Parts: sequence; C-alpha cells; structure tokens
Amino acid sequence: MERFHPFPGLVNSLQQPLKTTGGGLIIFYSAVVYIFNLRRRAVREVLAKQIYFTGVQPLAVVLAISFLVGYLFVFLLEKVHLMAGDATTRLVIQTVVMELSPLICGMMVLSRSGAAITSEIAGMKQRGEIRSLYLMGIDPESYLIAPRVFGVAIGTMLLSFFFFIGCSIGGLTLSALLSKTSFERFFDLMAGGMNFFDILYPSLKGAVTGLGIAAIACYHGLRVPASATETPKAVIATITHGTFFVIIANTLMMVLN
Amino acid sequence: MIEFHEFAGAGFHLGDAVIQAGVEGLILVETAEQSVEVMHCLAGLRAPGHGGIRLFGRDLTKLGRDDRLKALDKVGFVPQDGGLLTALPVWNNILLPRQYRLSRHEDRIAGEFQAAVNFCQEACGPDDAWMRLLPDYVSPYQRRLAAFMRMMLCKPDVCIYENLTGNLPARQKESLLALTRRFHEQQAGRISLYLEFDPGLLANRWPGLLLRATPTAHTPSNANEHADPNRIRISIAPF
Repeated sequence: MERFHPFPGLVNSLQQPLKTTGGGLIIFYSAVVYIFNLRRRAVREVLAKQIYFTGVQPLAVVLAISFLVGYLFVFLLEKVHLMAGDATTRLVIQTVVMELSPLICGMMVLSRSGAAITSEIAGMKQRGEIRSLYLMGIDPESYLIAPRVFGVAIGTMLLSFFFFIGCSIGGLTLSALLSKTSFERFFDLMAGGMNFFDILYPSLKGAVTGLGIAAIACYHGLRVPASATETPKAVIATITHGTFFVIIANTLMMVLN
Repeated sequence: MIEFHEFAGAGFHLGDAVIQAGVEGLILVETAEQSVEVMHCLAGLRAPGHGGIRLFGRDLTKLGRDDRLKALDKVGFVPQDGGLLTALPVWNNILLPRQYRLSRHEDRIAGEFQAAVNFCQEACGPDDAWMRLLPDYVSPYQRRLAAFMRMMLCKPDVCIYENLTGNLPARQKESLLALTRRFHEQQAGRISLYLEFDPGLLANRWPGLLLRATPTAHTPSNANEHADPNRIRISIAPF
C-alpha cells in the first residue's frame, strides 16, 4: 500500500537535499579513490582544462568584482570607522573580506562551472558517451569525476585567493583614489595583525567549497535520465542544492574558525 | 576465445557457439538493436536475456568493475556510431584510450599514431583535415574509421565490429573491410567478430565462421535487467 504523505511537496523538498548530500559524498569518495589516476596524461588534460575554465578564464571578471566589492566595503567602513574606531574597523574588514571571498567565488563557480559540468555530463550520458568510455576500457569515474572535482577545487581556491587580494589591495587603492581617507591608513587597518594563515584561509575555504560544488554538479549530471528535457532540471537542481551547500559550508567554516 | 552458451536476447536466439583464437566470425542478427545488445553483453555491460557469454573463459557480467575493465584492455570495440566523445576533436578521440593506458612512455604515442594513419592511408585519403574536426562534423564513414584507428592503437586480441558496414556506400564498405582484414592478419590468434544486421556485402562471401541468430517470439524475462534509463546510478554504471 502506498504511504500517505500529508505534504508530498514538502517531503520531496526535504528528501532531495538529503539525496544530493549522499550522492555528493559518494562522488567525492570516488574522486579521492581515483586521485592517483590524475597522473595519466588523458586525465591530466581534463584536469588542466577544468582548472583553466574554473580558475583562470573568469579571473578578469573576478578581479573587477573584487575591486568593486573592496571599494564598497571601504566606503561603508569609513562610516563605521567614524563611530567605532580602529579596532572594530580592522575586525570588520578582515572578517568580511576573508569570509566573503570564498562565498562570492563559490557562487560564481557554481553558476559557471557547476552548471556546465552538470549539462556536459548529462549530455554525455544521453549520447551514450559514458558507455563509450567504458567500451574503450576507460574507467568513467577516473576520467570524468576525479579531474572535475579536483579541477574545480583548485580553480575555486585560485579565484578565492585572487578575490581576497583584489578585494584587499584593489578596493583600498580605489578608495584612496575616490575617497578622502588615505590609502596608507586603510592598508594599515587591513593588514595590521594579519598572519600567514589569514591569507591562506580564504583559499582553503574556496577549495572545500569547490570540492562540494563539483561533487553536486557531477551527481546531478550522472543521475539524468535518457530524455534531453531532463537536463535543464538537473542544472536547476545543481544550482539550488549547490547554493545551499555553499552557504552552509561557508557558515560552518566561519563558525569553526 | 569467445563462447556463447545458449545465448538469447530480446527477440533472437543464438544458441551455443565457440569462436576460437584467430577466427574471423560474423554474427547476423535481425535488427540494429540486437547487434548493440550482443556487443553490450560481450562487454559485460548487461546480462544476456538467457544463457551467457564467456570471454577468455570468464563471464564479464560476473566480474567486479575493475576486473571487467582490465579484461576489456584486450578487447577493442568499433560501434556503428564510432562511440566518439563529441567534446574532443577526432584525432584526440583516436589517441584517448592509448593515452589513458600509457601513463609513462608517452613519447611513443606520436609514432604509433603516425603508424596508424599510414596503415589507414588509403581509406583516409590524402587529406587528414577531418581528424582535426569535432565528431559531429565528420561523416559516419569517418567516425567508424576513427573508431577503428582508436582500437588499432590499443592492439587488442579481440576486435568487435558492431554493424561496421551498415548504411555505407559499397566502396566505403569494401575499404573498411579491407582494413579490418589486414589488421586481423597482423597478429596471429587475433579474433575479429562482426555483428551485423544487414547481410548485404558480408554474408554472400563470408570466408570465416558465420552464425545466424534466429528470431524468437518472446523476450527473455531478464533481457531488460540493466536497461531502465530511469534507474539512478550514482556509481556510474554506463547506462
């Protein structure tokens, strides 16, 4: 007998993220198992392409956004500074810039690479190309999953690092040019008390965010049924569940830091 | 050696057959779907509807995935559509499985690729510009030729050609068959198995072992065991 659900939509909307979490973890595990296959030339090429598309191609846009975000913060902090003084301003700058870089980069990577990976893998599955890989004696997990997961992780790490740098230096430079406060003053507020880990932290956070995004994107791409009309649904699921992941993961890491 | 034991698929029955080392075999089925089904059963991608297939004495459907992929190292497939990855140019597709396997002596690949091109010179024609195109922009004949060259580079002991000559002009059929025959003779003990549904050119003057599948009215109960496209497979089963 079929089970009765008073709120079928609600049950489904709760089940889907859980399924995605489980599927994403399996994909991540699979990527780790096949990590040594990255030494193979064919797999290395996929990895290099993924790093390029995720971490290098959007670099100019990311730097431009980071400059603007940096300026926005400095502009707002000028007002905070008038009321709160140096210590609070420093805390706010460092926290916001360090915590926000991986979050913004994560959202960008999700909408670019996440959507692209899902639609690419879904298309491959529908055209029977995953089966073709198998017939060639190529393990689809080692060729498709591992380089994409690690490629997106490295790419997001790079983007987060450059966003952090762009946000810090570029934002301060812009603010020095456009506002009354001197560059040195804000640079001192920004850099004062920072250590090596603080500079590395956004990149590490970016890497974790990238791993999750790629795992979710691969999972939704692989579970697409044969019909081509299912691909947009899979992309939507990637974006929706990926957004949840990016926000939850970043919040958790912020709390744990 | 390939052994078919009371083998039957969806709407056809092949029965018992043994294809010994060095033999060129032709299996005639009724439809393109049946030839694909036999190929998938040979690769261990799906269980036969009835009976079984043993490759080198092993039933691939009963092996784990890693062992199955290892066994497939000795087997080359040329599907009718070429089975090329649409995101890679044709020459990249040709090199892909060889590059994947040869993780160390990568310098060998360029020489091997040139040797494959030379081997197929007549069939390729003087202009190899088509190899730089994406698979969607080349003809069905060129796709099959690329799949053949891809298989050649891996030097398999067993070559499976799925509907190699179907829907091609006679000259191109002859050209492909001449290549596969020459390749078969290159290595003693190599098995070449052609899965065809169009008797046309092949059946009239087939020199090797000829097996005909007989049509049956019923479909064996487990014929579609692995074929449900809506089944969610996270651990990347290829369907």
